[in-house]
Amino acid sequence: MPRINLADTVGPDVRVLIGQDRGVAVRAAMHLDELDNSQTSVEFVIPETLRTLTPSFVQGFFSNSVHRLGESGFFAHYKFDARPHIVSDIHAGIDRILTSRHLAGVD
Amino acid sequence: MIAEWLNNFATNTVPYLFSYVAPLFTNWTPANWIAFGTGAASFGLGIRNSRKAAKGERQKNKREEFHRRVATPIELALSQFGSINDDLYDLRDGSSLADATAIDAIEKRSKRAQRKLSKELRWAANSNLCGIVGWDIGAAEYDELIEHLDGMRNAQTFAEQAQEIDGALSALDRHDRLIREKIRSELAEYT
Repeated sequence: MPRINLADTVGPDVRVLIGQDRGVAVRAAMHLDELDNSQTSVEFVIPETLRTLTPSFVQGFFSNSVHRLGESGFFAHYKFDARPHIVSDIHAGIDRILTSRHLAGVD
Repeated sequence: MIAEWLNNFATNTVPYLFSYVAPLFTNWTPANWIAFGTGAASFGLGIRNSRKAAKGERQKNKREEFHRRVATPIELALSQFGSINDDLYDLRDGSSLADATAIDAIEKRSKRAQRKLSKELRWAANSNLCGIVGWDIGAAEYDELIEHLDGMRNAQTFAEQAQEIDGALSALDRHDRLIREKIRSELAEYT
């Protein structure tokens, strides 16, 4: 399984990642559109220094992936080597992405 | 065969039935007609009132369900942010720079509150108890809160930190108002 280190893109000392625009920029820099289509699962390594990912960052970062793969498909495709509170931040962001019936698959 | 049956029904059966029913009315006195009219009007009013009561009951049930399943869970999440508000006021009313541990504790609680809030907003948007749009609210204000908490850590003086705390309090206040306003508007529009 390929391992992608977030620190390689955002720097090793990053403490907080905030904002949808920044999420979109990091997504583009990490070529997530290509990774979404990868045949194997991908593991993200989140630096220990990171304290918070805000939901808006996660929206910018993962919105297209969740839209493409669906929620369960997303968590099957992407794994996270991260502290529990960061994984919780990611879930909060995914909830925000799915705060829409269309994306949530309700309608 | 059907045409024959219909013809027989129209020429024989109808006059036969009418011959029994008509005398009931032709012999009625004005008092009978008044009683009949009063009864019919009461019957109509009864149906209307019962429909009105049923509609009122349905609306009341919908409101109660909205409060129980949408508004209350969101308000509970907001109350967690409320306790962060109190801690920020305590830090601002202090006389020295807050240490990183105190700020970390506030940030951890805000993350837990955000996790709960996001889950409840998602639930609300995907339920059939209210509208589907505009539930992704407060994200920008939460971003501001996190930025100010980070600013508090970097503050070199108490005054700098107080400024960051004021920013955080303002973000929390706007965050709270936006979400409560959303609940009120959904309640008014859909229940």
